[in-house]
Amino acid sequence: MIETLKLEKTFGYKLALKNTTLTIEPGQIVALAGPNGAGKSTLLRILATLARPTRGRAAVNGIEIPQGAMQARASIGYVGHQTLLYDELSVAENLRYYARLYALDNADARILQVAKQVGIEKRLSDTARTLSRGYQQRVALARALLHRPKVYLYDEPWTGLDQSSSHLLSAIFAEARQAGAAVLFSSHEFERSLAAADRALIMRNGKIIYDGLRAEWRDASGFAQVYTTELARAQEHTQNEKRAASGSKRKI
Amino acid sequence: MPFFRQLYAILAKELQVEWRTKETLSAMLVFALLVLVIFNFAFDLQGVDIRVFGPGVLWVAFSFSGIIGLGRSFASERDRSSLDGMLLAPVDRGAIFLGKAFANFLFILAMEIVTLPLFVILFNVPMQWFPLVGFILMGTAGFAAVGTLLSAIAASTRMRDVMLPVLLFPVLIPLLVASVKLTQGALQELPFSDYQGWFNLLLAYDVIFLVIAFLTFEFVVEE
Amino acid sequence: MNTKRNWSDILGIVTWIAIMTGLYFAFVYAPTEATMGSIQRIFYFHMGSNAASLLSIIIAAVAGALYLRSGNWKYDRVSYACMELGVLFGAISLATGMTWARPVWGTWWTWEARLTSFLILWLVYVAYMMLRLSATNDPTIARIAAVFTFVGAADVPFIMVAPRLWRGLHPVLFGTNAGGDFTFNITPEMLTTLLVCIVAMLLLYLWLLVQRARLGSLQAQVAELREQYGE
Repeated sequence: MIETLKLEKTFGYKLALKNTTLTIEPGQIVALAGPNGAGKSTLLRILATLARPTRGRAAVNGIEIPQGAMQARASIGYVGHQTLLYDELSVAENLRYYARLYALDNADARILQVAKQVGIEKRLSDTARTLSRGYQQRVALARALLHRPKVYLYDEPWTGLDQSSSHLLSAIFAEARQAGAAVLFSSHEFERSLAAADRALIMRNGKIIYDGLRAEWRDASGFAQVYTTELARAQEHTQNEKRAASGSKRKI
Repeated sequence: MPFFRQLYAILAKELQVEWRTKETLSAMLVFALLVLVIFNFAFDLQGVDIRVFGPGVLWVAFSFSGIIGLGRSFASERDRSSLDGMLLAPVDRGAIFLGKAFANFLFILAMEIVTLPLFVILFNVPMQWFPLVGFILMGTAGFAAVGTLLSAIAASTRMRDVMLPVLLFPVLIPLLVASVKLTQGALQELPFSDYQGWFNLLLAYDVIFLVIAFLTFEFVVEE
Repeated sequence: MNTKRNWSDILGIVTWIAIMTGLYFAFVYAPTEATMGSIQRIFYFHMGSNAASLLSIIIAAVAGALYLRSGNWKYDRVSYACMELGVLFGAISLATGMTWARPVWGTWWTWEARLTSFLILWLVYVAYMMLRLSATNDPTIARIAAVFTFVGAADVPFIMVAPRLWRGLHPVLFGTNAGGDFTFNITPEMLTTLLVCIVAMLLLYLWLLVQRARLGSLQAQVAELREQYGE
């Protein structure tokens, strides 16, 4: 469903993503953890066709991007840091607008369906501005579900959702798994997010430094342990590299 | 055709959002009125032939006030990154450009529809509507096309509010000169052949910049 | 790297010789023009810088298009260098034009068609520099800058035609005389001098372009090394 081969992205001279090779199978739900600036958002944005990779290849739902981006977009559901809603429009108007952009048939029925799925069917005629952050996030989720994506790319989707509504995401992911879709989400709240995941990745400095199935870490506290040790090991590794590099610099 | 349906969706969204707030339009209108008033004081326009000097005043008002609307066009999208919403969807980037540009065209036109009668009243202009209206439409079309592209460019820089006029005016000068000359010709009721050169220039400008903006827009908005 | 270095050194020497030859032709070889006197000699350099400032945006747009196609930073650096030289040669062209206009037309500045055209063109170059300065070196700025060079290049014909439709008054060097008072008859010696000087100015332009693009590439290497070895 998601494949990348030696994917790299630079901003100016800063490497945001290094040599990333990754395969995610249909029905798999993958968590992406790591400190800020590790490259999680960059990876998700590239896969969502919002950013172009500098080097390397990627394919989403079997379609090579960015070459086939226009085709791939129809099967990608992306939730980012922003809700992508227009404050001035009502919830229904926002969703209808996106339904038109995705050229959906029978849009109104579909809007009602996803609205029920995320529990906003009573707020459809409210202006987006008047909603709480939590409800706005629900609308953002609805927006990303409208076109029945095959690949879910969610960047910190728990943002704004309170404890009582975080089951929504678990339900969305469970449904995605049944439909044979692939899910890749980032989060730094292990407690809430890892319950939903089959597999977890850890990124640091633009590199995937850990990739393990649930069997390896079992639950959130198990993963927290893995996370600490892996990050410490990676940090030591970088320091050694730097020392070696400064040594060779002196020779010049 | 999904292209035209999506274009329509974007255009309708732009108009709907503006209709709810009316922020941009009202700012443009007030600004255009201010330009007219300031010009009257800055250059004592009593006694001069307003059919010669008026068109310059009119197009300065149109372009200065139009820039306000154009600047808002992408700045607000960038602020809440709602542009990403359009980029995520399988929408041809040309459709996004045309939807945005047509919306800007309509906003500027709406401002002009109010400003033009004000200009006629405030400056006592002996009005000749035909073919002036056609020339204003032509000038506004080119203005909206190149303005929308440069607004998208300015919105991705750090100093977006300052950048738009800095980038837009040098490129816009030929269009403004042509529009002023055509307006003069129409107001003075000169024969068309007297200013046909300007007509051709404006027409070519409109076509060329519409095509260039349509084709290059994707490089500006995509990351 | 080494052969490249040699190549640009040879270009530098050739440019130096060409400039010296140009100076000799302009100040010694060419006869003094009958009505305007020695001030007419500034024309030889004026024309060369005109050509360079006009060419800049076109080369910049071509390089910009190549950058968008390939994503190769080399083309972006060439495009940037062209626009920067556009500012420089545009300024030379305006300054020499004004110096010439003072004694001949009796005024430093007049809203004459070609002067106006080159002033607007120069403003396009300045706008580009403002655009480049308002962002750091990342792919977004390179792409939007490339698009701006297209817009600028497409604007050139309009910038050239519009002021001419608006008004005219400029010495016509070649062909038939349209303006009247301010034309002069060009002798074969003057024509040779003009051609030599244009070639010299264009060589200077090319040499500066190569140097500037190389400087850009070195700056990029420095930034990359800084990124690698410690913040």
